[in-house]
Amino acid sequence: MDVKDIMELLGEITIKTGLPVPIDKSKIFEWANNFNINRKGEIYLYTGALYQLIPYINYTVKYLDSISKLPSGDSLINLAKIIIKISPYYLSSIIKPSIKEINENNAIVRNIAKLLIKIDKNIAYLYEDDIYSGVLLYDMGLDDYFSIHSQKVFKSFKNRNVKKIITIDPHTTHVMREGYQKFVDNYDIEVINYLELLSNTNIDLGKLNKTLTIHDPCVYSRYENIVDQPRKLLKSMGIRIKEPKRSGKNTYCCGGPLESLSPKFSEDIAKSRIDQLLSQSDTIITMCPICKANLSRVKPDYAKLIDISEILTSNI
Amino acid sequence: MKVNIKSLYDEVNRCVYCGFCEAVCPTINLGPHRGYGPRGRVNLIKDFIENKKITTEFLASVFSCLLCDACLIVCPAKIDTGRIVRDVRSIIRNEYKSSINEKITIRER
Repeated sequence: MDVKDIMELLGEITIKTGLPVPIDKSKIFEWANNFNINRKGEIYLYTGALYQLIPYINYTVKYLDSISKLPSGDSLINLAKIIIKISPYYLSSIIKPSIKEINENNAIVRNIAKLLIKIDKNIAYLYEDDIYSGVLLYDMGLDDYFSIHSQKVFKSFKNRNVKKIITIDPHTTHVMREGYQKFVDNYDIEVINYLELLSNTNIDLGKLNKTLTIHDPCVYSRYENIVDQPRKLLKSMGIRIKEPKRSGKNTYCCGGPLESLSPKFSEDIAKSRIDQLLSQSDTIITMCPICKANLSRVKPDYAKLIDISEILTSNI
Repeated sequence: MKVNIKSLYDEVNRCVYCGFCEAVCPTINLGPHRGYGPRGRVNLIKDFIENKKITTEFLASVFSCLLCDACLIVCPAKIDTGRIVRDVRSIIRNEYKSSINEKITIRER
């Protein structure tokens, strides 16, 4: 598919709906149904919606890629662009990712919230103001769209008097620190990642007798210097960590960032990475929704991919 | 925010063509030419800044980058290709959007 089309669709949908895919906004905070977390506080959990959105984004990308390959693909993509300019929600009924995947990702967010509540029950959640960060726009260099979107997000934080946020994935953490700093005037939000926060406490996570391979996300290890924090938490539980040949600062990408631009490239890179990881153990820890989704496409049936939050909440 | 082309140019100009980056890049072996690796990216960007010409190879090079920054760790000149590529995407978008008529596609080898 033409990279220009993908960028145009992504930018238009984000500006029109606030999300990179045209879905109902309540999907972002449905994980918090029946979960006891405050609406107001000094520090806010800001998921940036990435975990919740990944099933929808991947479904949409595959759908667009398949229609672009049809004989009338170009016309269909042009039609999609026109529809999105009129009302993106016309397309929402065709986006139907697996319920299992949606539930799994919501469970990850709930697990992270459980960990945060355990260290400080006053941590609050933004609910309807837990807006997508716009990180895909930033990474693609769609600065015109990103500039508008990031200012909207900042304004919603200001309206709610948010001063400090806790982020839960590498991409959102990075864009809230570096991207927003560059594009939003007077940006003064303090950003802390949940793994950084937890590793600075004496949280008792109990013990777990397991051997696991760790997959460092590139953005944590090379952009945000988050390498030791997850290891410290896992070791505190007595977990034996296996390091693949490429780990920590030298980690190898899962291929996920190219999923929308070249599914074939993305899959080939994921295959290389899963082989490196499985040479250590059958159970792999991920810390990013993009890594987990991309590696799960190529993993053999016997292998297990687990988000770190599931391990950290094993005894909670 | 406007990308500072002068500082981008200074950074890509530091490349000493050693090729250490090519050993760690996940995309170089998948693409049909060296523009699918960091050394190629950096030097195509340098050429683009000097000559203001956009080629199919240059676009594929810039858009096939994962921004994973594996290359930064091994680069003796500490060139941050991930951040540079992001900024160049922004320049293409802002200044050359209307002059790109052909499709931007990532080709497999």
